[in-house]
Amino acid sequence: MVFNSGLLHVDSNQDGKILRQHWVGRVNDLRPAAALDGYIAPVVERARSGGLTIEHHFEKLEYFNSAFISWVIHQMQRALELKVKTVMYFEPKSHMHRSSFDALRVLQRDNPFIELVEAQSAS
Amino acid sequence: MTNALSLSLSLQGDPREIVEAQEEIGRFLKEKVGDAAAHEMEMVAAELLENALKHGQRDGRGIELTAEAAGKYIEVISSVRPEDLAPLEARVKWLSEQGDPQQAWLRALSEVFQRGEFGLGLARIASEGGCRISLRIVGPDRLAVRAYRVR
Repeated sequence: MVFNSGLLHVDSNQDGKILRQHWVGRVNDLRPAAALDGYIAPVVERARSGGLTIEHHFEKLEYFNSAFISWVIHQMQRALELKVKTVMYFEPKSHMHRSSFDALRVLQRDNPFIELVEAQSAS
Repeated sequence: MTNALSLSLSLQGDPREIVEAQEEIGRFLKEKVGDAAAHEMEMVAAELLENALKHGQRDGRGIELTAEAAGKYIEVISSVRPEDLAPLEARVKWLSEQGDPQQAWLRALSEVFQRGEFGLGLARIASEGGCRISLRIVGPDRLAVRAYRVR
């Protein structure tokens, strides 16, 4: 499954029990939720019904706006509501990534369904 | 328009202009302040422009952006309805009351968790961009929002 919107590209594939989402490009949409919700809803439903884990690989995102950070927070809440294990990878060398994902990691330390992970293969 | 001291851009209010403005600011600032600071100011510009588009009033006067050459500040001037000014002033006041920008950022993110919605742009500019934000009226219904880099 593939999602394209503006300068953003997301590739989805399944690897055993993992539904992997590879995010590339930039999120500049003023209201990204409008398009992203339609893309991610079936992925989340598939994970919930099949007991799968969702992996979001954000580490190749060159830029994301604050509206996207709000969308990520909503995904974290949804993961908790539906009990869907969700792992989010970010680029630790990027000040932009660290600023958002380190803060989210602090706020989500008690959410058993969310894991925020520094990508190892970052370049 | 570019001179040694600043870069000035005029935008009509099309969201697609934000990416072009970011790229132009990046090119303008990179050789002067380095990659890291230029990237931060690109983000600052994009968030200010998004705020102007989301909360501003679209009219023939458009949006004016100025980036100072040493990367010290970005300023965006746009038209604003009087009823939209008070919430913006309240948000800037809230931000200054938080003290530490990193704590303000954590609180802003917490608000999204709790309320479902909370404008993050200005808190991000303060925290990630290391900027202090000020507002001033510069003409009839024209608001200047300046993000001044303090680190």
